[in-house]
Amino acid sequence: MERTEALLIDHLREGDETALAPLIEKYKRMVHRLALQITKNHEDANDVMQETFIKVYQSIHTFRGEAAFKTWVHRIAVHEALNFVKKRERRRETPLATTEEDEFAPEVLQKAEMKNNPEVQAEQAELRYWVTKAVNSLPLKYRVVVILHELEGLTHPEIASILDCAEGTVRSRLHYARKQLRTLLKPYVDANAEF
Amino acid sequence: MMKWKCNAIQRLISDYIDDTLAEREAARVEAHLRSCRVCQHEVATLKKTRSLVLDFYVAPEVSESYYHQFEVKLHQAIERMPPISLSHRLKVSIARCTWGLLTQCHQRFDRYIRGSGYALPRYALLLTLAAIIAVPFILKQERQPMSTYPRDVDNSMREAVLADNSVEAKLRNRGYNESSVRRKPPTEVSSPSFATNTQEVGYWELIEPLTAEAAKALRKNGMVSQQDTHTNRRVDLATLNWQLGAGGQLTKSSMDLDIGSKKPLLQESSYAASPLEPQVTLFEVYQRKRRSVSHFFNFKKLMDVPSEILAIPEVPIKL
Repeated sequence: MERTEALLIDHLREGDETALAPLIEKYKRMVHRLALQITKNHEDANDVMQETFIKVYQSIHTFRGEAAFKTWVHRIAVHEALNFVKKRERRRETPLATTEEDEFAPEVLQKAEMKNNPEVQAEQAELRYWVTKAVNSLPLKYRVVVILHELEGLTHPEIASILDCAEGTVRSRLHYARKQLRTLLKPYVDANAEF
Repeated sequence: MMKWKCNAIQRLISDYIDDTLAEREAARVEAHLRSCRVCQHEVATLKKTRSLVLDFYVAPEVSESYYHQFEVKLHQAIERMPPISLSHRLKVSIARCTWGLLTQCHQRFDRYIRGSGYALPRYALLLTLAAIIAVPFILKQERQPMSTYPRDVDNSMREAVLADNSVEAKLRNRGYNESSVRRKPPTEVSSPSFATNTQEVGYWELIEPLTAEAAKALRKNGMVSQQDTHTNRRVDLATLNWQLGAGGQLTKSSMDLDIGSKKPLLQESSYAASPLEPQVTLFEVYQRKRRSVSHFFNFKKLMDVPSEILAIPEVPIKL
């Protein structure tokens, strides 16, 4: 943990609300990304982000510094997002695409890249589209592990502590997730697979 | 045989790709891969899948204005939040300590328990025993009324001060007798359901009649005159003032202490306009300082109240 971050956490623990702003600034992108990838709904992601930071503020005195602060925030964010998804499933609602989501949708990227270098970038844009779609179509338990490991760069023990499960469970979920992704991306994988 | 070996190796492939295998296991996987084309293909395709995800997954990003709006909303939400109470923090801390203790116990004594099996019933038994031990203490604590002062200190203090008539005389000489003390009008009394001023200077009338036990306790302390015992509705104001000034505030909690009843009779805020308030504050400060060590000392020592605390400042009284 960085020294400044530890200092901010100490200040926040003592009740200094101004220490929260730099922490939000540091982790807001990560929390929002995580929330949006898990909930696949922009409004839910917004709520998850808000709940996450409120929980961070309220429970900062329970943070003992044994794990990294980043992992702790990850843990809160993932649990909040999973709770939102569970609530939504209970209500049997389907996630809605929003205008904000369209901003980073692969189609939009594709158009932007086609303008610059249409011949070279077209294939990559297509690849981006299918890879993003494949990851987003994974079952929730696999998607969470893939996001945390491949995209957030967390280790197996960290993911296990975040999800409250055994390390072996994380490993096996990651393995099955990769197998599913391989099936979904078969044409692209087979084309370039080399040992 | 070969099939079985492939299955065993394929379970390790994901870790092999992540480079998280121990050296020995990694060497075993590599040795197998040199001779098995199926597993070679498996590793190659999974590696390719991983690199595709790492290189081509588009993580969602939003504009800075979105984050700015979010921060504004978050700060508003935090401002609206009620402050976190000390009791809540205490509860959380106790829960965490308990959990930490249980985890440590589990780690230390696991080897003794694991061998014999049935770990869960044993833990359940341990928890039940702990609960049996803890519950009486918790219940006892809940039964105790929340008091400003520790019970023993309050009782011993009151008895000693009541016995000391010279202090009472001192109070009366300064003009704080029953005829000069005037209370707030009934409309200003914060909780008229419990008590109200009858406009009769020198008396409070309790709306709810005292219980037999309460009346007995009050008579014992001289707070109810003998002629009022049949009604149990009148309490001598001077006595109340006396209690208020020298023995501490006559609050809901201290009344509870006095009469041993959970039913509140008078509320603390009813005495907000008391001319003896400065003593109460000073006295409170003094007792708060002593409170942390009070349980470790003889309570009689607390009677050594500094004279400046008992001294009464000249407070103008409106008649």
